[in-house]
Amino acid sequence: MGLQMLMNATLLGGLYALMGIGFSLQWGISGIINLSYGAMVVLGSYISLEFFNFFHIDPFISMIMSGAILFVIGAIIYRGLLQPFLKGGIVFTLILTFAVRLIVENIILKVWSADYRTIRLAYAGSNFQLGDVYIPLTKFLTFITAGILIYLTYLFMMNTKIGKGIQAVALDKEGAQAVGMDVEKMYMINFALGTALAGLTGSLWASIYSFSPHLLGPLVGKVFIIAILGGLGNIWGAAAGGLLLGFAETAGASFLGSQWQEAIGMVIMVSVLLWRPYGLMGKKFFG
Amino acid sequence: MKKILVSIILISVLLVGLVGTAFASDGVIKIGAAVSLTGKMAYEGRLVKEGYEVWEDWVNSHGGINAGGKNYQVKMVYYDDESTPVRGAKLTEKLITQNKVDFLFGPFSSSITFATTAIGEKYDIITIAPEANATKVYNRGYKNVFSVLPPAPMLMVPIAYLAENLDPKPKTVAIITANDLFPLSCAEGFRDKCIELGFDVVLFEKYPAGATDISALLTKVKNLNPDILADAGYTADALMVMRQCKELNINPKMYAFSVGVMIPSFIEELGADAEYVFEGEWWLPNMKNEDAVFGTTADYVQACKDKFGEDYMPEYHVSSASAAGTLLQLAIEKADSIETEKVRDALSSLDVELSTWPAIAFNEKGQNIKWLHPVVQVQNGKYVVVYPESSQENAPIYPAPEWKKR
Repeated sequence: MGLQMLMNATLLGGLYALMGIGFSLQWGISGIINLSYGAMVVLGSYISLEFFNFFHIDPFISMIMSGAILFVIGAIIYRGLLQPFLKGGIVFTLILTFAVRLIVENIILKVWSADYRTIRLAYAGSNFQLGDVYIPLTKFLTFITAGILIYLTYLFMMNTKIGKGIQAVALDKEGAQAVGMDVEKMYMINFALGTALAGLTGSLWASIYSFSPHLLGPLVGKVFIIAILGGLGNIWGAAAGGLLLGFAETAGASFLGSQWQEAIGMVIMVSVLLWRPYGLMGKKFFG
Repeated sequence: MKKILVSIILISVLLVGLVGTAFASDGVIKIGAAVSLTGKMAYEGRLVKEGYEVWEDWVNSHGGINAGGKNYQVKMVYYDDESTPVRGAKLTEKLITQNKVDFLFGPFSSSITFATTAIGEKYDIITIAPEANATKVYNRGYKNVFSVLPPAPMLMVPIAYLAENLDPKPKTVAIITANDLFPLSCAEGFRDKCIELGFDVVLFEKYPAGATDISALLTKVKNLNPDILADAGYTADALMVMRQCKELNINPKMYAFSVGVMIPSFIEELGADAEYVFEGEWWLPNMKNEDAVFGTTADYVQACKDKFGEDYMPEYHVSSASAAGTLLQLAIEKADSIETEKVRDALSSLDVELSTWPAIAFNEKGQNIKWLHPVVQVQNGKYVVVYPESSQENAPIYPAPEWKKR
């Protein structure tokens, strides 16, 4: 791979990393395989689109709103829909989150139609040069922002009371309950945080790519791969998984041909499941 | 008393109506069309029906069709196929056996036409199919199917002809395509024509349909530095390619697309970056063709506006349907008969330019194999017809300047 290819891979992987973390936290800690994750990402894109169209707010700013709105939506979905059925086991959460996906998908179709949308930033398409390597400005900004957000999530988990609470719950649910922690609240905050990360990713996505309701499905496929590569509930693991997927897709496109670009992720995922089912970073729990 | 009076008035009105039509013409040609008015293809189905309606009105108000010393009016019979092939086939049978239609016009989409034409063939009734260009429709040895739309691989072919006459002539071509049936056949048709015309095809590569980031592929393109970059994909792909080309500073001298350029969002989203981009089209309302039925393309557009309102602008779904009507009319007049066999022979031997379609001539399978359809280029924020020369509004601009010099 040339230097330009390495740069493409890194920039692509940065966004994947951010996208994978929310899903990985929801699965690893709250125990919910969130099939509506892709819908939440795309919803974040549309929220930024509306802020851009009506108030001319840059998605790099409106992502805060996307994150906040999706946090609330995540909390509501968890409390109202998922929590009452958690005892039913994983199948229930799969069915319920798939239902959420269908509902959100159809709301998006109704409100924004199936057309492809983009946010037309004045500086979209501009780039700068590092030797022979061209670095697209918007992609560079999303990479940096994704990095900052990942680090902030890490700080939140490590240094705040709630973050430590979430870790405690993840490590030992009964133990946490025994010392008087509100376990359900921790799960809810964790789930909402994951949804918020989806929304943030959506806003960043909207600043570099076009989006439409068709995107929902493929995105869920990608977060599955990232989570499995990195191990569940592990921030740095998911980040590494995202970067790895970026590299795998780029390498697949350059060595095997672009039609393999998306298949290669699946191949790697299956290989990991066969030989290292606990993920490449290999830890069962966060913490 | 009142009731009787009303009845008498009604009956006399009806009688006058009947007598009126009887005097105006010697007969009626019945044409059946099951089109999608509901279901997932309702949008295109309605456009096709509108195309038929424009032609029907025009013919009947302009003296009907003359054949064998008789004058005929046209009567269209429509059914809604609900966007399903099975329903389309059943309704086609009903059109033939109950409504006793003389000819059939096709529905929207290859899949439904595939089903309805099987019924038409069984009863030996001609179908003129405006909107079906999948090869499988024409590979069954049927003799009663005629197409308006050329086969999909032809869509980008005019771009190759246009490129051949540019000065300086481009030499190398890189072709990228979404890995799906329709884009792939467009790309392959373009590739074959490029090779035939002596271009050097330096890259032919597929990317997954629906991909959002193809920077890896475009980096390959950059290293090859082709004169022409051609992409056959879906609507969002044109935008993606242009944006990522600019980001990676990729500078082909010509950008060519199959779809995605002539949609409102393309220029809106890209602004000045949309300049110089080419796209192959099937038909455009600002072409300059003519025929004996509607007159010029401008006259045809006016006929559409007269029927559907000043804001109405026909596009290729509408015009291909009107072209089906025009073709039937020309064939009947040429055959001087409405007998299936004679009309079929006349259709097969037609080689015409229409106000509603740039060129039509059929091969033995009934496919339209003329390639004079247009190419547009974005010039100063507008879509300009640059090919064929007969319809040219402006000369094509080539080469496109490098991104840094724009």
